[in-house]
Amino acid sequence: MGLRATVSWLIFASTAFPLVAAEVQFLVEGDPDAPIESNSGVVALEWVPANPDEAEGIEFELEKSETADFSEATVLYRGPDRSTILTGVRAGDYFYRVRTADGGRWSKPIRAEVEYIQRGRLFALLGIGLVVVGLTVAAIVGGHFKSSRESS
Amino acid sequence: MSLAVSMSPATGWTVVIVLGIIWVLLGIYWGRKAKGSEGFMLAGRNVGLSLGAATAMATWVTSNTMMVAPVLALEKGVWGMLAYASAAFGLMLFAPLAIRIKRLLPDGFTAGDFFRQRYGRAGWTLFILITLLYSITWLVTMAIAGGKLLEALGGIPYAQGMTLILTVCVLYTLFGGLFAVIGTDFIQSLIILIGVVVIGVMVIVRLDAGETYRHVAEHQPALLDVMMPVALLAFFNNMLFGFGEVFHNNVWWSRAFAMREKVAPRAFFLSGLLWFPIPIAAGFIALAAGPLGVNVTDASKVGPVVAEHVLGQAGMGAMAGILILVVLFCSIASSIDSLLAATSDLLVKDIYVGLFKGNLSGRVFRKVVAVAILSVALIAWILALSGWNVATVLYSAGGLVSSLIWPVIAGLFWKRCNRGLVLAGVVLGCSTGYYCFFMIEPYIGALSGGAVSMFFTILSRYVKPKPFPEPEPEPSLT
Amino acid sequence: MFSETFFSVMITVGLVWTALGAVTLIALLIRDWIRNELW
Repeated sequence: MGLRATVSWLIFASTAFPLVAAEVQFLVEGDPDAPIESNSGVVALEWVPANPDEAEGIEFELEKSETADFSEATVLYRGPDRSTILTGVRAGDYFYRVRTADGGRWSKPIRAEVEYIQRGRLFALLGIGLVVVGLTVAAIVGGHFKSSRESS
Repeated sequence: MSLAVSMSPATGWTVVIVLGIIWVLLGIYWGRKAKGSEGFMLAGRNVGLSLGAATAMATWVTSNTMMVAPVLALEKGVWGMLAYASAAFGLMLFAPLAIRIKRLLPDGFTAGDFFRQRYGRAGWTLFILITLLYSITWLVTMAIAGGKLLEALGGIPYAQGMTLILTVCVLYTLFGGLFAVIGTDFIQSLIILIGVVVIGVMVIVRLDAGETYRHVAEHQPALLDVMMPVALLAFFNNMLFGFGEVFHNNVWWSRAFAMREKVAPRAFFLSGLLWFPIPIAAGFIALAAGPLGVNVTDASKVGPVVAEHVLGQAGMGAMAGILILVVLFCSIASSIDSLLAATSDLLVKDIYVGLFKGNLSGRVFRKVVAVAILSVALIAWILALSGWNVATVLYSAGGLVSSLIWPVIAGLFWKRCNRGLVLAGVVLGCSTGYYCFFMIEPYIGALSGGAVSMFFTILSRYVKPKPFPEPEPEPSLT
Repeated sequence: MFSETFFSVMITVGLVWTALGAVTLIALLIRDWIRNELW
């Protein structure tokens, strides 16, 4: 009797409350609550359906927002892929969420922090780059003219 | 969206084998011109402008240009494209170096001859270690790229595809030496240039540059920023990486030795001009991904994926995959053949003759060269099969090659220097380059290595400098 | 930000330049062939 009751309850539950858990969630390495950090403006997102066996041919919808409540959200992707690489993201905090495209429940949002290298450090490195490249070109061009003067 | 297998394995095999047979037959045909070691290793030292410029350009178009330039555009935008294109300056600046190389070493065979003459046994050893590590990893990444390409486009298992591509290149290099390499490079460079233009134009037809701009400005705005920090760093780093690669590697030195004296500088300058726009055209293809609605799931394949999407939408079907395969195969083969030839030259001339005093007279020569080419290929094949992450070894070597920029300049243009200081600068530059790459920021590896070596080389001019030894005539090989 | 004009010009010039490269190579090949200066 016990087994039968459990099975029939499960059947009931799955038909009556089909959306108990989020059907899609982001795959995160390490601490699931930590934000994704990027210093290059590249944000890679990957998601999995809760039940991979039933997921053949399912389409997903990915949204982005600059606020945690997704009051103003943009759809970034709609389709069967399970990952995406976003590039050219400006410095700031962004929130992403995903669901099945047929109107499933939204996943737990994921936060990305994009922060580029500090201006001071950047300009110092650029300065070194400019000096090294400049001197290299000057040494070659100068050497070239000097040696062609000498040989003529 | 991932790269769809758009053709059957049979088509993939057919394309590569047909192209391979053409290359090998041409290799055999041109190889008949190769008389003796100068003929085989240096194509008779009489290469003209058209073939010279094309071979330098085609060698510099590696699978990286076709696969990584789009990645740079996708991740770093306008500056990313320009950063990649700046590698062309390495070729252009090699032009004045080529004039000096021909003057100083009229009978030279390899870059090793220069390092031995200018920096002695210690300098030569440093050069050989750096260049062998670099050239072999470069070769392995090409072989891996070829294998992955055939797997992605034609569904051919990786090991088989990689072996096939490597075998084709070994065969024609073996039969024809530098004649075969230069001859096939010309055809390959035409196919690459035309292929890139055709694909680029088809992208433009579907959506013009303005539409791409507006979409990117809305969804990936940082790609269009003038102040895009990572991209700006990549700019100088890439340029110095390119300088280092071109200035030190025997691939370019053997070309300089192979060309006629008047031709060499003009050919290198022209090859840089020809190469410059390719990363921009190839990069544009990647920027079109967003506007075309192509979801990028694997950045490293964005170029071929978008190209296939566009060609597929234009109704080209299986032809799309074939066109992409042919263009990429040409870009890979034109670099593999050059690396095989130039690296085996180093083994023959610098190691076998120079180090072990081996004999190269008469018939022995071809046997020794064949063994050298096959050994280089075998090492590359084993490493490419091992699945070892060779790409990181290659990219992290920026500091190694950029440390050789200034020693080459000093050795070619200066009359005196303190050799110990120069070589200390190379060692410190290599260490700094590695440290910065792994511990600070990958985009300053080449920059930091080059800066350290530059400092020491300039210092060497003022601290107890000694004149370089007078150039001695090269011993004849035959 | 780079302007739309700059971007369009860069892409167009890039493609035209690449195409001109192919034409230049063919022209030079013919020239070298006529002068018997290929290699």
